[in-house]
Amino acid sequence: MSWSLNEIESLARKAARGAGFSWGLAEEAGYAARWLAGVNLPGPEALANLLIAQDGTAFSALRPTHTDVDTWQASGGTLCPISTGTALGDKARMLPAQCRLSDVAQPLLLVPFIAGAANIAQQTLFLEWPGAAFHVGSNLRGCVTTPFAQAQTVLLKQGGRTSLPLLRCQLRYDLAPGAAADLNNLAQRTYAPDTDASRLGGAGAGLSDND
Amino acid sequence: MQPDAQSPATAPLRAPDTVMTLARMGSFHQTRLSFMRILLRRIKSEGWAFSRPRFDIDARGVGIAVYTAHAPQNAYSLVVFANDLPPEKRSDRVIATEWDATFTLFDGIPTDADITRLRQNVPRQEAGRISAQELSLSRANRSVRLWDHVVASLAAGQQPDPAMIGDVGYLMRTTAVYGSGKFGAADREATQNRPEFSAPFQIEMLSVYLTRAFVMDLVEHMAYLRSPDTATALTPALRRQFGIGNSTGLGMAPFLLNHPGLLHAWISARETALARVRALPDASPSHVAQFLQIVKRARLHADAWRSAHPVQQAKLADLRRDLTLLEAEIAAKDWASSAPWDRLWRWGETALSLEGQEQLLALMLEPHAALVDDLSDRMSCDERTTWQIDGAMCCERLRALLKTHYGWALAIDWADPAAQTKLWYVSQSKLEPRLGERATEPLDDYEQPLCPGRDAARMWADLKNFTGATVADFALSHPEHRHILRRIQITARRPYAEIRGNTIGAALLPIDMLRAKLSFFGACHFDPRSDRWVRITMFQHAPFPDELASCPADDWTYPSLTPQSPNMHFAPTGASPA
Repeated sequence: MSWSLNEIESLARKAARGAGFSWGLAEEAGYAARWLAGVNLPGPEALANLLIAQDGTAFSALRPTHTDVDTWQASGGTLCPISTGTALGDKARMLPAQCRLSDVAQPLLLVPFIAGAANIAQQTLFLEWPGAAFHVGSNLRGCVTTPFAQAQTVLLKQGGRTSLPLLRCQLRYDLAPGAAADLNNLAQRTYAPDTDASRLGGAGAGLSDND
Repeated sequence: MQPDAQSPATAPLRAPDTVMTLARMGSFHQTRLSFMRILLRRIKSEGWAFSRPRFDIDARGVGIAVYTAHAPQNAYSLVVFANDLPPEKRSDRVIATEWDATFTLFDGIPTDADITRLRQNVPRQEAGRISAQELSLSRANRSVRLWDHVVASLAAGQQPDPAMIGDVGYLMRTTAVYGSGKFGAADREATQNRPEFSAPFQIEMLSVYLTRAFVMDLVEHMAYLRSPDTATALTPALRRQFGIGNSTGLGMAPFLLNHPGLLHAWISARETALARVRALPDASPSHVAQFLQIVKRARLHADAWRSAHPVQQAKLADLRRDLTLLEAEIAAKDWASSAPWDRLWRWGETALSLEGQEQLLALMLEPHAALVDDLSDRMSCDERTTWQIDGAMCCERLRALLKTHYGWALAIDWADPAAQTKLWYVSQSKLEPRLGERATEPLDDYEQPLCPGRDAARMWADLKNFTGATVADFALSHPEHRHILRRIQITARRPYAEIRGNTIGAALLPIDMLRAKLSFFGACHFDPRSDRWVRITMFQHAPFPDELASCPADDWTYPSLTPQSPNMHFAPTGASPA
């Protein structure tokens, strides 16, 4: 089914919140899923995989323990790409010439944050892991062969690789039904169960609509 | 804030702490910069054509109609599915499943195959699915009382009672108008570079404008089918007294909080317009004459404004009293003195209620089209440009910004239960935003991030003693504050981005948020039906599409001073009663 990018972003944000992300990080997850869908990469599917795999894990175990070192890692062993990506984006103007990320789940979800960092820092950045390479700067290039595989090492460095194919922008995305269902299930957790009292009081109706 | 060097001189802009209170936002009025008026000015200046390629509605009121607007580069078609709705199914609430009519704005001119596809989906609204070819999805219900009266009158060859029209103001009211990517529609990003949609909500306004034309055609058609031998059409003058109603509930309130950059763009355009008028060294006689006339028309508007809600009744009493004060002030005013508009404004700030002050703002803009209308080009916002957190900012700077822009929030005692009585959540059944009672409903786990004041105060508790150097360090240590951290940085750059009031306190009136937004649409006659939903009218007195070419496009929001006799109120060249 063809989804609008607003729908993708909204669903991804709610699903991330439902999976335990803070609202601010859930917004970042929504942004990442939308950004990738907008270049026809399976970001929403990667996010669905990530949220299910991380469900119930303490956030503190998934984020980088230190960001002032050359190799970032998580205390729990596997880095969350949303936490890691936002931390990289937050440090856009302070990134070292080269940075290694150890054991990243769904590394595809890093790409939107690197693109944001490149935009803020006004420089071209290059991101690669086995089976994937991305060049982000004044244009977007890249390819990925196994989009959902965990990466033992992701390398981020300044400079680009213009031999990579250009990414194609689009305004719609065909979201895989299984991933849509997974994201919807997680998003459901953000909705309060209905009661008659809340239906009447919560929206403030009660007067007749027939005039 | 620094005035723009390229623009007319401005007086100092009003402080965000003054403008962005809930009480003042709940007193906003439509202005020259309202989105309906921007749309009609464009339609007129570009000479859009309109056609009705299809109108197949049977005697029960069931069928399909298509209305097409031909802009210079693109055509847009309102596709209508009219329904024979049993009265017991008529509800304005989002929980409704059937409506008197449903609509979509189609990007182009639909083929029969498009209409077949839309017919499967549009009448089902949220339960259906539309495509990138559709730009909006909406529905409307009849005002049964007025509908029946108008059909019966016209069928009998009579004009309906103007007093009844005045009491209601519309034959149908929309109960939701969805745009930008909702239910599969095209995202705003798909159309935002078209000139006709560069200003905010132009798709939704066009949809409602064409809906109004359809509703008037439908009521006359139904009268004709009931009694072909005796039926007559509405006189043009009476026809224009019908607006489109709108029933807006809590679903709209979070929008202002979810789009801080956009809110800033709207408010700063309006505030800049006021500041430009206040900066004028003198008042030309023609501007003064126009102003005196528009004040009289605003009086008619205020007198015709009805509400059964005690809060609004008190505000209407304020407004009418303020207009009396204003009429006396301007009658005695020395317009030849220096900076007369600024002096009038300063008088209003001390003499008038919030209702009156905000009405005065709208009225002061009216004579100054050439000075302020260009600001409509600044009311959109690419929110992504300020979305990214600046992690290089030092924490000391963030602390200073928080104190500057959220001082109002730090002044609230959040330990007092009254400060957090309410909470925003989304219900499972219809995914509808609602407002709950924190103490009596187990809803804390579902709370939406719609309480920036409380969140800023919570962040302050962690930030004030944080020893890290940069915002990036703080964000890594405190991911729970990331949402409000982003807002604070946005507000630092765009100071009208934030409502500076408690959006979860015991005293919150969500209708204040609704009115602020609806005033930017150009809505009039706000009539709260409770503290959390409101009825309004849109496009009342506006020329219809076929009239726009031959009459002013932007002289309709306040009623005419001319007596409301047929053919006098509106008399396009060569027109005769239908």
